[in-house]
Order: sequence, then structure tokens, then C-alpha cells
Amino acid sequence: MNRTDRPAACSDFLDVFSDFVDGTLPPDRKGEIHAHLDCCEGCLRHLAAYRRGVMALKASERDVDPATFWAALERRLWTEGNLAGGRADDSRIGAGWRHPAVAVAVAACFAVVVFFAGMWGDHALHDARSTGDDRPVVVRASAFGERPLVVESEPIPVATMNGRAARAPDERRNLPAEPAVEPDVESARVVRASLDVPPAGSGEAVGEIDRDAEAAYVASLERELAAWEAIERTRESLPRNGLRGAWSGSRVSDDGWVAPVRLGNAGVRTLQANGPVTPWTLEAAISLP
Amino acid sequence: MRRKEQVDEVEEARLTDSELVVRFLDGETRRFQELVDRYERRMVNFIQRSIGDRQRAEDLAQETFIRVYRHIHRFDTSKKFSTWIYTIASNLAKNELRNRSRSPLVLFQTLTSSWDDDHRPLQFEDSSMSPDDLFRKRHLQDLVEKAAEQLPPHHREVFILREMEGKSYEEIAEITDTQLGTVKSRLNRARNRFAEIIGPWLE
Repeated sequence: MNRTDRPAACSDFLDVFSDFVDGTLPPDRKGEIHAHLDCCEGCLRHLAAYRRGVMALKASERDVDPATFWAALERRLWTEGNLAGGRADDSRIGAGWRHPAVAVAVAACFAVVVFFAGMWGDHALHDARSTGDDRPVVVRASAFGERPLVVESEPIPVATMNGRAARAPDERRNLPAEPAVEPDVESARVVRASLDVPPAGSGEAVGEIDRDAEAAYVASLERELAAWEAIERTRESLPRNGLRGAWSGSRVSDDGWVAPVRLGNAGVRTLQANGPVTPWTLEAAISLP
Repeated sequence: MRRKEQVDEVEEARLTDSELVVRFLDGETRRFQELVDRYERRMVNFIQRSIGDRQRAEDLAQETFIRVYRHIHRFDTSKKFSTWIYTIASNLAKNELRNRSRSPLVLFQTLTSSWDDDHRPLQFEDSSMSPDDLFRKRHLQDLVEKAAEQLPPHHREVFILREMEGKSYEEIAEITDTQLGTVKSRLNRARNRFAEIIGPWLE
């Protein structure tokens, strides 16, 4: 039933198939198609299969239990605050969840800072723009705030960009000479991400499990995943000129606790945090050799 | 008292989505639940068909409503609420597919959910049907779901929005943030491909 195997009239039918199904073909065109269907068993089967398939697909739609769905949603909404006339003020989601750093973090809730460094220390022909050191490229996102996740991008001003300097041949490591690389001005972007992470709570359950606390904790981890994903996207958007180092990630809590995190979504997906969740900063850095 | 409840129900059915939003913003908090009631089934099924995972679809449908709740004050009531909520759900589904393509763990979750579907209990089906009919119906539904899953994601999305959700081309263009012409061409390809896949299975 491949289109290329069909005669011209059949291909013509397939070209307007969607309009025919929707009934939006002009009357004369519709007449032509009907005439073709009268004498083409293949196209008629194609149409019949489509209609039968769509009907079966519609019939396969499954119900949702409204009570269960709403109960789960309501629990999650409580962590958003103020559902149903301020139920978030309920002591179960008490003031302890609110962190003073949030207000500050809203203003600082962005950001991705990217700079490019020159790569090798043994540059024989240093370009004036090359940093020539092992300064890391850093992508950083503050993971607190009340604004939704917004990723904005803008071109990097050319003046701030560093291309990779030319490198003389390295006989010791058997590396050939490499020409200077101009920064890719067209594709380079500064990306700023603002992230929505509500005040987080403790994941530890003492005595009876506080379901709201648990939901808030899970929600905070989900926001962290969103933050990491923003960083992932930023990393991917970086021009590749000269960036040959290894990326590493860490999760830096306000209380100074630093936890290394394996980068890449598989690592992020399996991220687990034990103990109290405090405000954090996510940081991804590339270490240049 | 019963009469008042009946009046409320009639009034609720009469209110448009935008009117529900306005009333919710005016302080009638229960109106949000009414919006959820109207859309929960559609959201779960739409997302499930987009990502092929029922359990995850329910999570993402809830996330959709959370985002609606969070940003409802910014909703332009002169526009269609359904377009807005489908846009949110569509973006979440796309993110899910993007993440899944890079995450072996999520792939595994998809696999296990497929096993769950295989063992879906028969008692949820129409009890008036004979076991043979039930089997055939279930088999056909599995086939068409598999056929839909074989469509490329951006084709599947317009196909579902048009055929399952009954959206106009203009709404689909808005929801998917694409040009009208792109929607038309993707839909034509998706429909033809769906028929090509399902045709031999039905013969």
C-alpha cells in the first residue's frame, strides 16, 4: 500500500486523503474521488481501514476515577498553597516550609553563565582572545523561586566570546597542529533559566507519615529535575568550539553540603536526596584539560 | 435542599470554561474542581496516547492541572480554555518523550506499563459481550493503539488532537505551536500512515 507503488489516481487520492476524511473537499473534487473509489479496491480498503481503526481507537479510551484523581491532585495542590481558601495555611504545611531565601532567590532565579576558555596550556600561538588557562565553563541554575520555568536565550555578544586558539603540533603526544577556531556567533546563545521550586520540606518521616510533607518533598525533587533538565538543555545549546573537557555536576545546599551528581538524564532521573531538603544551587562545570 | 443542588448542577453545566475560570478567580474555589472534572479524562487519555504510558499520563495530567492552577490568573478569558490546557499538556508530553529518549530508566517504566496493559482485567469491559467478542475487541484496540504509537511523535500529536479530541486545524496549530500548513501536511501523512499500518492487520 505504499504510495510509490500506486497509480497516479491513487496517489492523488492519498494527497487529499485528509481533506476527504474531513469532508472539506470542493464538490467537484469530492465527485472525482468517489468515482475513483468506485473502481479502486485498494483505496477503498485504505479508507475503510482508516475509519475502522479510528473508531476502535476512540472506543479504547479509558475512564479516570474522578475521586482518586482529585484526591491526588488536591494533595499536590496543597503544596502549591492557598487551594480552597487558604488551606495551604493548614498547620500540616506550616511556616516551616517557607524559607526566607525564597524571596532573594526569586530575583536570582535564573541563570546560566557561560564562558569559553582556550583549551591547551601549551599554545604556541596564543590568540589574544584566548584565556589560555583551565578556567572551567560553568552552567549554574538557582533552584528556588516562584516563577515558572522559563528559559530565555539571547545571542552572546561577540566581544565576550573566546574562540579556541591555534595550537602548535605536539610531538610528544603525537597531535597535529590545529588552526584557530572562530566562535560560532550565529548559533551561540546565553541561556537564562528561571526555575520554579517551592519551599521544600523534610523527606524524613518520624512517626506517622505526613502525606503532605511527603508530597512536598517529592514535588521539590521534581522541581530539581526540571532545573537539571534546564541545565542539560543549556549544555546542549552551547557551541562546541573548544569544549572538550568532562562535565561534572553538583548540588550545593545553602548549608554548604555539596553532593556530586552524575550528569545526563539517566543520572538525574535516579537522583535521590536523603535528609532535610534545604535551598540549593545546581551547578554544572566543564573541566578543561 | 435537593432542589438547590439540582439548580447548581444545571447552572454548572451551563457555564462555559471561561466563566468557570472567572468565577474561580472571583473566589468560588470549587469551580476549579469543576474544571478538573471536565478535563481530567480528556487530559489523561490525550497524554497517554501521546506518550503510551497510562500511569505516567495520570501524573502528567495532574501536573497539567497544577500548572493551570498556578497560572490561571494569567489566562486570557477571551480565548478558549481548552486550547490553553491542551497546549500545557502537549508541552508536558513532548518533554516526557524528549526525556525518555535519553533515559533508560523511563524506557523501562514504559515497558512495564505495557505489561500492565496486557494483563488489564476483563471485568472493566462490557459485561454484555461474549468472551470471544471481548477478545476480538481487546485485540483490535491493542492493534490500533500500537498503530498510533508507531506514528512519529509530531504526526501522532496532530492525529490525536484531530481525531480523538476533535480539535480544529487552527486550534491544533496553536496547541502545537506550528503553522497551519504544517498541521495539514502532518495530519495527511499521519492519517495515511495510520491506515497503511492498520490495513494489513485488519485483513
